[in-house]
Amino acid sequence: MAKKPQIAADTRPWRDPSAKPFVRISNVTKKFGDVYAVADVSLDIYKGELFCLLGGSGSGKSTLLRMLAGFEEPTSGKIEIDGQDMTGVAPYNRPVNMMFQSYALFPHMNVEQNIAYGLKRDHLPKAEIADRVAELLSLVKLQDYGKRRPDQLSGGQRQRVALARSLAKRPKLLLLDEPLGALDKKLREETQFELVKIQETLGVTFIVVTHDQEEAMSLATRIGVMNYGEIAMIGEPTDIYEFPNSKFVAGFIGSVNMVEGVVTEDEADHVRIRSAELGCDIFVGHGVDCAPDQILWWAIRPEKIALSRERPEGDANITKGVVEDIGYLGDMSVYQIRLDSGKHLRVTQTNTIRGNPDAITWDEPVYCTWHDNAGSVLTV
Amino acid sequence: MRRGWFLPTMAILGFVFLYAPIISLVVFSFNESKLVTVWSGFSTKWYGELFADPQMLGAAWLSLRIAAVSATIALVLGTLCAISLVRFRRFRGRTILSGMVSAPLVMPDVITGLSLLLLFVGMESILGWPAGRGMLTIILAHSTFCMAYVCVVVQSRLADFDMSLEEAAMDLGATPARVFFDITLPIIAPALVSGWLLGFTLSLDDLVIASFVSGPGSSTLPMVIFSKVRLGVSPDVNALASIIIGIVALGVFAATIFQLRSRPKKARA
Repeated sequence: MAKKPQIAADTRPWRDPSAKPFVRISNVTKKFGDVYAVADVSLDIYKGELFCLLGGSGSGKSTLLRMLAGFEEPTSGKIEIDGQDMTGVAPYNRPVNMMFQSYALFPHMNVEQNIAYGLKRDHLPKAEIADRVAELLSLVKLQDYGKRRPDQLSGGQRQRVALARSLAKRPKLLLLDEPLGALDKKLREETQFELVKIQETLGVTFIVVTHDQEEAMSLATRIGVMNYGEIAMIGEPTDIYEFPNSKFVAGFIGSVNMVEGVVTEDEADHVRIRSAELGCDIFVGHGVDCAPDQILWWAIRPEKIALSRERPEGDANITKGVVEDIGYLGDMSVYQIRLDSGKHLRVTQTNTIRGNPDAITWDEPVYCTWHDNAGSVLTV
Repeated sequence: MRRGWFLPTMAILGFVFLYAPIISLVVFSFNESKLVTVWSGFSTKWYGELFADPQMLGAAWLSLRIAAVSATIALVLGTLCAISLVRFRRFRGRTILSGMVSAPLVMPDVITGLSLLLLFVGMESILGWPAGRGMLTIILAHSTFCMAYVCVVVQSRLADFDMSLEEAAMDLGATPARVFFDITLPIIAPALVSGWLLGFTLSLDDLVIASFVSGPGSSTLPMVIFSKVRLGVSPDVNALASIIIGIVALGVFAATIFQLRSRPKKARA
């Protein structure tokens, strides 16, 4: 798994209200006919970030990227890059380069010519172009492949050529459209790591569009989750996973158990929610902005629930069910627990003991319990 | 898998059916006798006679020039048409244009020829141009129907064209004109070559339309051959046909080599 760029807490510019954003997207809307592809998106991205736009197909993430590259003009709103208004600036005049999902390598040119294409457009001297191409080829470890044509390369090699070509002009901002989408799983994990390394070395700001949440989680400094053309949530990967702000975000990232409940106690330091689906009370150990009798949702990740044969102590956060199914994944097992209400809970347990003979097994009645901070209370 | 006798036999029969007439034509072009169907010994005298026939040579030269010019005009117009049909998804009259472009493909030659003749006569009496009928009117007529073929060929190539290639070039700093010459043109070049060759062949081959729109002194090769054959087949026509077959075979060979060289890596990979 790739590691995130190690930015110390105090240098995270998005936490500093006075920091100047490198890319500022303000109230950008894009309509195709009557359809809103992007609806009133505002977003600040800072220098040196690896920002992931994450969303399903049709969420508008690619359209937003294409507007940054200049292939689409916003219907309304403004995009600024490095303090410069990009309205009406043609793609070939922007300080931005893009790596395409299909890689878009020119089939009639070899690897070197592909990488040199942008440099030739800038009319750099021949020797400098050659130096830069050699440097980029070694950056992506393709020194021996300069004379090959794109269709003589494997998928992973093509991906690296595309990356080298998009970095050739030393852009301040690199846009990557599903950069790892066409690679198989193993190659993707290796490439992810390399991508982050290159980004750290060059200090280029990356904006990555992806539909793969694992990819986003492991690559990004921050993630913007998009849904129906709107930004549903912006945050660091841990915020997005542990503190989702809505049912959509909670369900989109990772797997989650979601139940409906009614607020029965609403105090400054705790909230009690009665959930018929869960068959017990949920005690939340912090205050929530809600009203008594309000109906809301409570979401908990499968790994935050503990299973036991004996009833734990306490009057809340304990429910009873029967193990209906177990999915053994090696490192962990996924339990499907059927509660008395008929609702299913998904619980994962790490397999810390090798071949544990005492493990909870099929058709056993079990108690499910969780910490009073383990779940998120969601009102939208 | 055991191969039966059926498939090879059928294949051989098929080839015989296709090529026996051509082979007999080539063989009889070296016939000594004046009678086309009676073999009386090997001779190349009909080739000599052919090159001594100014009418035949003139017609051949005229046909080649017409074919080259019409194919070139058709290539430019057909490519422009294909680009506008494929790239500009929605514009006023798109449906009509795409229908009209393919109409000449299915229109009987007689009707195309007749309507063009009427058009040229009308234009001459109103605009005074084109004055009379001859090479110019044949070129105009041939460009019109060849354009339709070029358009179809280029359209299919453009339809598989990955638009992100052009966007990538633009992203790397190329202006739209540069993109067209650096990226689009080289990638659709094979379609342009085959479109041009198709147009050239169709123009060289056309008898009906040319008969309608040609004038005195501008008889194309097919017209001359046809009029000669009506008076009885003469062996020098065989000789001429053999030469044309030779040229076509060379052309096809060259085109195949060209296509193989434009994507040799698949064979090597």
